[in-house]
Amino acid sequence: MQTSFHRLSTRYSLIRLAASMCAALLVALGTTAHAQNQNDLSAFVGRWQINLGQTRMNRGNHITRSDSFTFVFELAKAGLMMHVYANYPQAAPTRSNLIIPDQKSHQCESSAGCLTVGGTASDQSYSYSQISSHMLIRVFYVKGKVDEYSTYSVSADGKTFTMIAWGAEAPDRQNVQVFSKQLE
Amino acid sequence: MPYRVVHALLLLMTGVLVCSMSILVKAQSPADLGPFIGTWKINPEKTKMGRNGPNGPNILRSNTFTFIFVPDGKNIRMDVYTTYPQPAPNRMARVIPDKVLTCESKESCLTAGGDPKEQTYAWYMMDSHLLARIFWIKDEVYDYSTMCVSTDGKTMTLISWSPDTPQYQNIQVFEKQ
Repeated sequence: MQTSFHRLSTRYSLIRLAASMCAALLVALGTTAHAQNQNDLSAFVGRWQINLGQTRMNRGNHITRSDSFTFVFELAKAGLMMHVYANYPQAAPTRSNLIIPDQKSHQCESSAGCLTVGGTASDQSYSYSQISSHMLIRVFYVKGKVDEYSTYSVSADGKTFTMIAWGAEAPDRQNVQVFSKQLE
Repeated sequence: MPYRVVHALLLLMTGVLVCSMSILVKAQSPADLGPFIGTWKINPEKTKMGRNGPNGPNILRSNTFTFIFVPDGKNIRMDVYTTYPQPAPNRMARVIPDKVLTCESKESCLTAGGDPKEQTYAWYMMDSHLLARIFWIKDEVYDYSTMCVSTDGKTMTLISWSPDTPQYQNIQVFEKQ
C-alpha cells in the first residue's frame, strides 16, 4: 500500500516537474522579443538610387555622392548581399558586402574596403542587427574598435530607403542619405 | 523505464534548461548601459525636429527638456522631464532590452499623446553606447528610434522617425549635465 502510494506520488512529482519545465520554457520564449528572429528582409531587395535633394551629408567626413549613387540589395543565403555602385550603371559594383543580421562581427571581404572613405579591408569588420523587417542597424569596427553606426530603414510603402550614419565620437553629426526604389 | 532513471533524466534536463536560460538572460541583460546613466539636457541649437516633414506639424521642445537615466534593478529607467527642474518626471520608460513593454505612465509615453494602454515598446541594445527602440500603437509600428552616446560620454543623440517616412527625422541632441 505504502509502495503503491509512493509510486503514485513519484509519478505525480515527475508530471509536475515536466509541466514546470515546459511552462518555464514557454515563458522564457514568450516574453522575449527577438528582433533578430524576424528574418524577412525582402523589403530591402531591389535597386535604390540616391535622392540628392533629400540627402544631407552633415557628418563632416567630406563624402560627396554622384547623382547616380546606387545600392542593390539581393537576397542571400543568410541575409542580403549589398552591392554599392559609386555611379550607376557601371560594369561591376564598386564594392559588395554580405549582410548577415546575426549581431556577430564579420570581416570585410571586399578588396576595395567596406567604407566610402577607404581604409584597409583587413582592419574592417561589421555586425548587423535586424530590428524589424524594415530596419537594420550596422555597427562598423576598425581594428576592433567601434568606428561607425548606421541605420537602414525602408518606408512602409517600400518606395524609400534611408541610411543614417554617424561616427562613434560624434553621433550628433550624421550623413542622412535618402534613396528611391527603382524599377528593375 | 524505472522511475529513478526517468527522474534522473528529468533532473538532468532541468539542469540543462536552467543553464540555458541563465545564458539566455545573461546574453540579453544590459552588460553595460553605464554611458547612458545621468542627466541629459537638450541642446536646442543642434536639435532638428523634422519627423513630420519640412512643412509638417513638428514638435517643439522646451529649452530645458531633459532625460534622466537611472539604474533600475539590473536594467535602467528613463525619466522624461518636458521642462527641468520640476517635482516629478512627466513620464518614464523602463529600458529592458529585447522585451516588449507596456507603457506604464499615466500620461502617454509619446510627446504626441495618445492612450498609454495602447502603447508598447521594445529596446534593443547594439552595444553599451547604442540603443534602438520600436514603438507600437495598437500593435502597429508607430516609431523607430536610436539613442547613441558619444565615445567621450558627453553627448547623446536621439534620432526618431515614422515607419512611413524614414527620410524625415527628429534629431535631438543632448548634453551630459
